[in-house]
Amino acid sequence: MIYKGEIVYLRALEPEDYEKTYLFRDYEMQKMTCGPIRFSSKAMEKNWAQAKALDNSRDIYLAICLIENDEMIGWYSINDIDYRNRKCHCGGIVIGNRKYRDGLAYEEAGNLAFRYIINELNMNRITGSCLRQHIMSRAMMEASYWSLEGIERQSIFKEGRYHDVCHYAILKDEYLEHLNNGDFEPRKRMLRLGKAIKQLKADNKQ
Amino acid sequence: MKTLEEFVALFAELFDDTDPSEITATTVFHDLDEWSSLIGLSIIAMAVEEFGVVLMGDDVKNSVTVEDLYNRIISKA
Repeated sequence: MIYKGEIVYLRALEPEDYEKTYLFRDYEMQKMTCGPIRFSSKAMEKNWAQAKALDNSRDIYLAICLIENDEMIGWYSINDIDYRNRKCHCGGIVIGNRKYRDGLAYEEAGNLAFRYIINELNMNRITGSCLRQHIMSRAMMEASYWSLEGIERQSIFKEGRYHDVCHYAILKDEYLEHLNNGDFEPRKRMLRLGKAIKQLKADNKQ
Repeated sequence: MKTLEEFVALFAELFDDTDPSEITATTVFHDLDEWSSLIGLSIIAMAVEEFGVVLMGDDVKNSVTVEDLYNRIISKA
C-alpha cells in the first residue's frame, strides 16, 4: 500500500532500505533531535531496518519516496502506538537527501502521514517532542495548532550538556476543526509559521 | 520592498548555529551544514510574511545562492 501526494509517497520501510537510512543519519540532523548522537555501523543499521520492517505493532516506519523516480529520500516514524487509548507519538520526519530539503517534501510527507494517523489508525491524541532550543521544530508544531503541554527540564544529555524538551499534542477534533476551517491552506500556514518563529525567537532572547 | 542586504540579514536570522558572517549574497545555502527542511520551510514562511510571495519547492531547490533566491522572490512580488 502507498499514500501518495504530488511530490512524494509513503510506503512501508523495507529491510533493504538500511543502505539509505545509514546515509541519512548525519551529525547535524542528530544534533537537533531528542535522540542521542551515536555512531551506527552498517550492520546495526541493517538490523534496525529489519526490525522496523518486520514489526509494526507499536511503531510504524514509513519510507518517504519521490514520485518521479521512486528514490527514497527520508522516513517518517509513528511511535508508541496505543490502540486502546487511541494515541501515538510522532517520532519525526527525516529528509535525508539534502537535495530535497526545500521544505515541500517534508511538508507533504508530514501531511500524508498525519492523514494516515487520523483516517486509518484512528488515533485521537497525537504527541510530539522537540528540544526547547530548536525553534524551527517548535514553530512548526505551533503553526500546526499543536498545544504545548509541558517542558521537561534537563531531560536529555547530549553534546556535553542537558537540554530541556518541549512536549506538544493535538487532538483529532482540533485537527479536523482546523482542517475544515482551511487553516492548513499553505499561505495561511506559512504566515502562521513565520509569526511563530518570530515570537519564539523573541521569547528566547528574554 | 526589502533590499538584497535586508534579505540576507533576514535569511541569516533563520539559522541557529551558523555564524551570520558566513551568510552573504553569494553563499551556496544548500551546502551550509545546518541546512534542513525546517529552514527551507522557514524561508517559504519568511517570503510570505515579508514579501507576500508564495514560493514553490522548485524556487528553493533550484536557487543556488542567497541572491538567486532573493531574485526569484522579487520576480514574483
